[in-house]
Amino acid sequence: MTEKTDILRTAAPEILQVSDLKLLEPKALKLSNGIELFCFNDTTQQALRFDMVFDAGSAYQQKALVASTSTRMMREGSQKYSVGAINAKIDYHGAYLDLQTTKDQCYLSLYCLDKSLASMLPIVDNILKEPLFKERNFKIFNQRQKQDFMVSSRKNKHLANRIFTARLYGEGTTYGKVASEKDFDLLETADLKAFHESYLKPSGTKMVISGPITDKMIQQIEKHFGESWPESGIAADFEHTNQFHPESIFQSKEHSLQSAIMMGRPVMLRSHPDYFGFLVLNTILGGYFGSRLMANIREDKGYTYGINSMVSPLRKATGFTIATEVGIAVTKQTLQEIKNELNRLREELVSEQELTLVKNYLTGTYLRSLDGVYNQADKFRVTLESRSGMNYFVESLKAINAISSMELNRLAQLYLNPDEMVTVVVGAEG
Amino acid sequence: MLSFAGLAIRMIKYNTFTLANGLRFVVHHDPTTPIVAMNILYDVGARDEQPDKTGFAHLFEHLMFGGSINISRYDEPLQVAGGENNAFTNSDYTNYYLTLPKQNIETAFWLESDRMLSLAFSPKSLEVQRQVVVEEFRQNYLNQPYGDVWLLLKPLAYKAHPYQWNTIGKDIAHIESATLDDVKEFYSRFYNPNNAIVAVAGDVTPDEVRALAEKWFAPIPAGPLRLRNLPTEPQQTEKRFLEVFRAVPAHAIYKVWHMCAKNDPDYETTDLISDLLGSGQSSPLFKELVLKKGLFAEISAFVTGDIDPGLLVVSGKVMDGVPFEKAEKALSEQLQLFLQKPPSANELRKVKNRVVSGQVFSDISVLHKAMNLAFYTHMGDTELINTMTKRYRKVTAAQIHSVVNQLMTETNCSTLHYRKEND
Repeated sequence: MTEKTDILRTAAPEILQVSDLKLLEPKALKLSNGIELFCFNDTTQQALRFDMVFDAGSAYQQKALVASTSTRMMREGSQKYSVGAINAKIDYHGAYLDLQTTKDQCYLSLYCLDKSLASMLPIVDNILKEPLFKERNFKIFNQRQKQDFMVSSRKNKHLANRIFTARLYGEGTTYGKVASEKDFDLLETADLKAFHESYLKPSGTKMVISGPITDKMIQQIEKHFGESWPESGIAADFEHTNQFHPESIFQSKEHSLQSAIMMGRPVMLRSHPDYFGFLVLNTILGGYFGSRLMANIREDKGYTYGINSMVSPLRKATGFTIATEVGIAVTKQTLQEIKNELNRLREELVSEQELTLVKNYLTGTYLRSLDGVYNQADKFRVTLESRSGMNYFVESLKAINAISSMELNRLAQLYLNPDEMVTVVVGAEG
Repeated sequence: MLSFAGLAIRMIKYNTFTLANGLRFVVHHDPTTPIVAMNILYDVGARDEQPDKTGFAHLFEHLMFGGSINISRYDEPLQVAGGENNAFTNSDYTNYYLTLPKQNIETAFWLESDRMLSLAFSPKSLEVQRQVVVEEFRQNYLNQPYGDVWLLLKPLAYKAHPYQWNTIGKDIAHIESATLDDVKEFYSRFYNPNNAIVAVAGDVTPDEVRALAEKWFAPIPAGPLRLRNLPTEPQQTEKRFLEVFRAVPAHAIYKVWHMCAKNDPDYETTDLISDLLGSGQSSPLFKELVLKKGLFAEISAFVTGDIDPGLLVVSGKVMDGVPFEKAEKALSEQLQLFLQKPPSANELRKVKNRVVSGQVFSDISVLHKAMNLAFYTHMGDTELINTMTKRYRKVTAAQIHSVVNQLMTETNCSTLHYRKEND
């Protein structure tokens, strides 16, 4: 085809800046009981994704484990369907039903082929409205989740995470509560029923459907989750105030080959003007493969298989976390290198070259994570509270691309002082 | 009930071409996405390693990010172009993949062709990546409850074939003692255009890809022809058993049976056997032993999916407090029951439906499409991407019954009892 010529391999091909993010807002409908239903339609697809979002996260529970257990146990048997029948029908249709709980919310997500939706909705309907929480099924379910917890507890990473979460938000605060092994023994079906009744109900609930949507599907959704599901009044919101103070915690664990390290602090809410700048700062520090922490601690020193930092926004607090697992002999050196990298961001301006790289990388990440209706529906959920719609992502990408090195330095000085963080090490100090 | 037997999954259209140096390309044009995916499969895996230099294919995957002959860092320019990448190594092949905004597709050709041309072979990169892989070994296999299960199972099941070691290697010392000469030798043997397949999927036409391929990949010289001559695993003739005690919260049981190769006519039947037996919460293993009897906390069955003859696996964690022998007896009974009669029409339809829906879900992502196209091309027939589900649909209950009874015999089985200490 083309004539072969000697090409200059040392020079990179020209990079085209991709700045425009084209996103359509979903069609917004309202069911007759007030539930909002958002539709991301793509008739070229064959799969459907149907999400329900409830204000029913663990922050609402009065007792540990209640929110996640009552959510996940809905599929262990309902008035019309036994656990066996539920599993058989979901598997028969090659469908997946995910039940997840965060601190703020609980999500029910159904993935199925478009022609299976009509068979799946009656099941989702019944497990949501009339789950049984049978004593026998509960006992087995709870034993299984306890055993899972015990397996996790053998991992330094999980132990560190529990200690860290409690210290990050404050022990005893709503977000700072973490489950322990004995909490499984205190759990009762009455707790699950009460939680379900108070929080898994239509008022305040949002639904998002994505894929090849038809009018008939919307009618079916209205039939199951609109007219037959009366409004119930909104449950009281939870309160949370961070109680954070910097400290260092070391927990020794025998026979460890690696130490799990977590370090961090609470930062600004998602709605704060500093938020997007901080996302960029986090990316530079530890948010991608080429980050400073990876470059230093993995790629230069070989201390770890991986190290990263992340920003975890909740409704009433945002956590900032650095996490890694390193050989025990280099635990101290790693802690020092993390501090060095934090201080470098506080003391030196990020070069234009590095900043451009990270902006381009983040732009690519936005394109990838918003590619196709299923990803868009997934991302859309985070905009529900602020009601900003998909424009939120267009605006946030603009904000990201407008950040200057000076601004990043200001943010680093404000938020990345290692002496103002909590540090948790589980393992051995070498 | 509904069956997907008549469901026409949308065909994936693609073009293929081969450069003069033997490098094969597959191109799938998908105009609906702003992202383009490139997947490069090198036909080298852990099975190609010397028994005294195991873990090398995987270590090498790390070194491929340590700079190539003309480009000092792989990741940086890709990230500047808005791209992201990763790679994995298994027993059969090594797979590198990336996605980036379609505008910057040439960056992918530039980067990937340079590391196919030659690496920088920096001593520092080798030294650091050796340590990184040792930490990976510790993190995923040693410092982890049940992490060493496959380090025990593979040598129990395989006595001749290189599947007897894991991708990470059988001994950390092999990684620690890797030299730059080893690395160079490995590269010149396996990292050649005639030993690789490139798949590109996204809003890019076959002509555009061809022009870029000619420009960037065509000048790379072909390597020596390779003939793979691996030892065949002799038929197992005695039941094998291993028992270990570890600091874990609950006992676990693993049973593996030798099965056919990926291109064998019985492969789909065997894959469906594992689905029928223990995939999903409606499978008999889960239903009876977890939900009904509460003897196991979790249990599942699956196939390893290897290209050479692989394993059918049943893996279960015993519920805390349940005596080990009781759990094992119940599992044996359940397996016996499964051998007695063919699956019902309904059960068989269920597992086939799951294959179909799985394919539909997988085809959503442009990266998955590129990965699948490269893999099926490697299997010798790119069209498998469209015909694979048909092969599953054809499997009959009688075939299932016949294959499972040949396969799940005691003398074809290796059992690992992974027991908790001080119980």
